[in-house]
Amino acid sequence: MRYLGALVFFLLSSYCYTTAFAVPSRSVRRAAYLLAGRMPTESELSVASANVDGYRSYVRSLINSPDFYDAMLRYHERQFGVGLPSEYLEELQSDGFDGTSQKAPTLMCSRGQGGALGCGWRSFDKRTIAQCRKSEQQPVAPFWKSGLVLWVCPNVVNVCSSDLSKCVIEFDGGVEAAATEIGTTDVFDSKRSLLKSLSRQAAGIATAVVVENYPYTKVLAPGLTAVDGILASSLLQKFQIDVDKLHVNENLLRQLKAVPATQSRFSLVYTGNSYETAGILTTFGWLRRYEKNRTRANQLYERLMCRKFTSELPRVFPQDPGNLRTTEGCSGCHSVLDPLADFFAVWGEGGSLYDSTGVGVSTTFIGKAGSSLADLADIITNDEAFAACTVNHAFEWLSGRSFRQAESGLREKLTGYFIETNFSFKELMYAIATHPDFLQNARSDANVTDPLEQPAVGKVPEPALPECTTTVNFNTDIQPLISQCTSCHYSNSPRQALETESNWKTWGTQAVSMMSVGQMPPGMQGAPVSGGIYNLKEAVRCWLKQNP
Amino acid sequence: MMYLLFHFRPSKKLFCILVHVCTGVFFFSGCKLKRTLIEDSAAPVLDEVPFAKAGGEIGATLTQVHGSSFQSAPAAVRPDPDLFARRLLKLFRPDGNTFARQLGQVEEYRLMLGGASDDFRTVPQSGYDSTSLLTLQKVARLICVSIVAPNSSQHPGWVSVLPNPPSEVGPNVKFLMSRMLGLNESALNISSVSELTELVNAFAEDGVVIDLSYVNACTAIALDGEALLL
Repeated sequence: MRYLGALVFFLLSSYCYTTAFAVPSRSVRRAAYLLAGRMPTESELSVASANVDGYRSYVRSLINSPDFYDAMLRYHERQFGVGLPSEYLEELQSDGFDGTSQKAPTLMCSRGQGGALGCGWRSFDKRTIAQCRKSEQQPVAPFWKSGLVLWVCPNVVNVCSSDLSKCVIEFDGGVEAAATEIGTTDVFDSKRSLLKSLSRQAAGIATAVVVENYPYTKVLAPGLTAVDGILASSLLQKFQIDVDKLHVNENLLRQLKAVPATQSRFSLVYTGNSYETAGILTTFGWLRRYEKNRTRANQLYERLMCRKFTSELPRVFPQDPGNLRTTEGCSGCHSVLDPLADFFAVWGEGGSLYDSTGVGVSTTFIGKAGSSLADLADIITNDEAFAACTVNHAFEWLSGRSFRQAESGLREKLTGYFIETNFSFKELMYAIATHPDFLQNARSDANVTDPLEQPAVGKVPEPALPECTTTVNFNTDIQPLISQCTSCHYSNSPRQALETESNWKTWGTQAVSMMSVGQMPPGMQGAPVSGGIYNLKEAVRCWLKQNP
Repeated sequence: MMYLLFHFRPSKKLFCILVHVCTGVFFFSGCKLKRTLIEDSAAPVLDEVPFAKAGGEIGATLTQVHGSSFQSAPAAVRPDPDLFARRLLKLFRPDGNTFARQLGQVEEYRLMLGGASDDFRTVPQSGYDSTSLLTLQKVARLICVSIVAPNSSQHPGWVSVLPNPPSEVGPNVKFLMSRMLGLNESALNISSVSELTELVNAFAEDGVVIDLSYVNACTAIALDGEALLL
C-alpha cells in the first residue's frame, strides 16, 4: 500500500511537472520575439504561461502564424549576410538603346501643395527636361500601391505606361523613401526597393522553404529560386534590368507574371533542374557579395557547415608559394578550399560575374567528386555536417549562446530529430523552443568558454530513432501490417516478395530505409511520422535489431 | 442646388478616379487607367514546386530530445538593433506613409545603434556598448514622441496611443509598460510603476499632465532591463 502511495505521488508529480508547471513570462516573451518578432498580447501571455501544454500550443501557433515569415527572413538574412552595396545595382541596369550609358528613363516624384503627389521627368544629369501645364496632367494608378493616384504629363504615360512600371521611380526626400514598404506607402523608390530584394533573395528562398515546410536541404536545390513583387516586376522590365546578366531563364520569366508587384513576400519558383544553380548559392546577392570563388567556398564552408579554415602559415612566407594546394603551410586550407572553389567555376568572379564561360571543372569535396553546383549541393546536403550546422544556428538564435562542450549529446539528438522529420526547420525550432531548459527563468553568459567543436564531415545523415523498448514478434506485430506492401510485393511479381518472415529477413532493411524517407509505398508525401506505414517501419526496424 | 444637380456633368477622368479609389480596381474599359503589371487575361500561376514536404512533430523522439539537457541556462538576447525602431513603432502603429516617414527619420542612427552596414561588412551587434546604449535612448525618445505625443506636421493622421486622459497617469503608465514589455499589468513591478508615475508628473506643464509629459517615461520603459535583454 505504501508503495502504491509512492507510485501515485510519483505519477502525480510527473504529471504536474510536464503539464501543470507554470512557464516564466520571460520565456513566453522571448519565444514570441524570436519566432514572431513581437511581444505577446496579454491574453497570449496568460494562456502560454499557465502551463507547459499552453506554452507548447502557443509556440506552435507562433510557428504557424504569418509573423513567423518575418522572423525567419531576418534569421536567414543574418545567417547568409545582410546588405548589398548600391553600386552593384548599376552593373545590372541595361544600357540605353544607342549603347550609351543613358539608363532607363527616371521619374522624380514629390508631394505638391496640399499633399497631392506628382511626377516629372528627370534626366540622367538630374535636370527636369519635360513639363506640361497642370490642366494637361493626367491621373495614373502607380503599380506600387492600390488606390493611389498620381498626376503626370501625357508624355510620361506614353513612355512609362499608365502604371509607371516602365520607368525608374525616385522620390523627393530620402527620409521617407528609406523605409518604404511596397503596397503600404505612397512613396516608392525603385532602386532602393530592388536592392533590398536582391540583398534578401537568399534569405527569401530559405524562408519560403521553411514556411512551406519543405525539407531544409531544398535551400540548395538546383532550379529553385524565390522572388517578391519588386524582383518579379523588375525582371520583367528588360529595358531596365539586363536579365541575361542575371541568367534568368525563360521558365522563370514566364512564371514571374504570376507574382503581383505589390507582393512583399518571397514566393518559391521552380524553374526546372539546372546543373549550374544551387538555390541560395547562386542568388545574385551571394555571388556578387562573395565575389571570388574562394570567398564563396569559404563562406559556404562557414555558414552552411559551421567549419572554419584555420591557417598555419609558415614562419617565412615564400615569395612564390607555387601551388597552394600542395605547398607546405598553405595546403592545410587550400587542399580543401581550392577544389571546393572550383565548383563555382561555371560562374565569373567579381564584376566579371556576367561574363562567365559556363564551363564546369571536375573537382572534389570531402572525398566526393562532381563538376557542377548541383553536384556540390548534393554533396553538402548528404553530409550530416549540414544538418548539425543548421541545428547549431537554430540553437544559437533561440538560446542566445552556442553549444557547450558537454552538450554534444543534445546537438546529436536535435540533429537526429531534424533528420528524422525530413529536415523540417519548423519542427527543429519547435523542438528547441519547447525544450524544458529553454523555459528557465535564469540567464547565463553568452560568451561560451568551452564551445562544442565544429561538426565532423563525412557522415551520412541518420535520424535519431526511438529506442526499441518492447520485444517485437513477427507474427503478432508485423504480419497484420504487411498488407500495405503485399498488394505489389507478392511472389512471382516483378518486385521483391514481402509476404513471409523469410522475405522480410532478406529485404527488411531496404524496405525500412525506403519507408523512412517516404519512397515506399508510392504516393507518400514525405517521411511517415505516424499511422500504418510508420508503425510497420518501426516494428520491422526493431525486429531486425532484436533478431540480427 | 437644383442647378448643380442638373448641370453638373462629372468628367470621365474624375469618374475613373472615384471608382479606383473606392474599389482599387480599374474595370471599366472606357477608363484609360489600366494596370499593365497586375492585370492579365491569362492569369498566370506559379508552377508547382515538385518536392515532397518535410514531416511533422514526432512525439516519441521529441521526448527523447527533451531528455537531453542544457549544461547552462539560455543566454540573454539583445533585440535586433536593425529592427528596434520598426518593432517598437509596430507595437502601436500600422504600416503606412507616416510610419515610413518616422522610420526614415531614425534611419541615420541605425549604425550607431549597432545595426548592419549596407555593404554587409559590419554585422548587427549582439551586445551593447556605451554608444549603442546612448543611441538607443535617442531613438527611443524620437519614437516615443510619435507614440504618445504625435503632432500633425510630423506625424499626420496619428493621435496619442494613451488609452485614458493624460491626467490618469497610473493606468496610462501601466498600459505603456504592459505593451512595450509584453507583461500582464498584474505582473508589473509596483515600484517601477510608481517611479514612472512620478517621472510623468515631474514633466507636467504648469501643473497639468499632457501627452508630452509621458515621453520621458516611455523612453525609460524602452531602456528597462526587461526590454534591453530577453
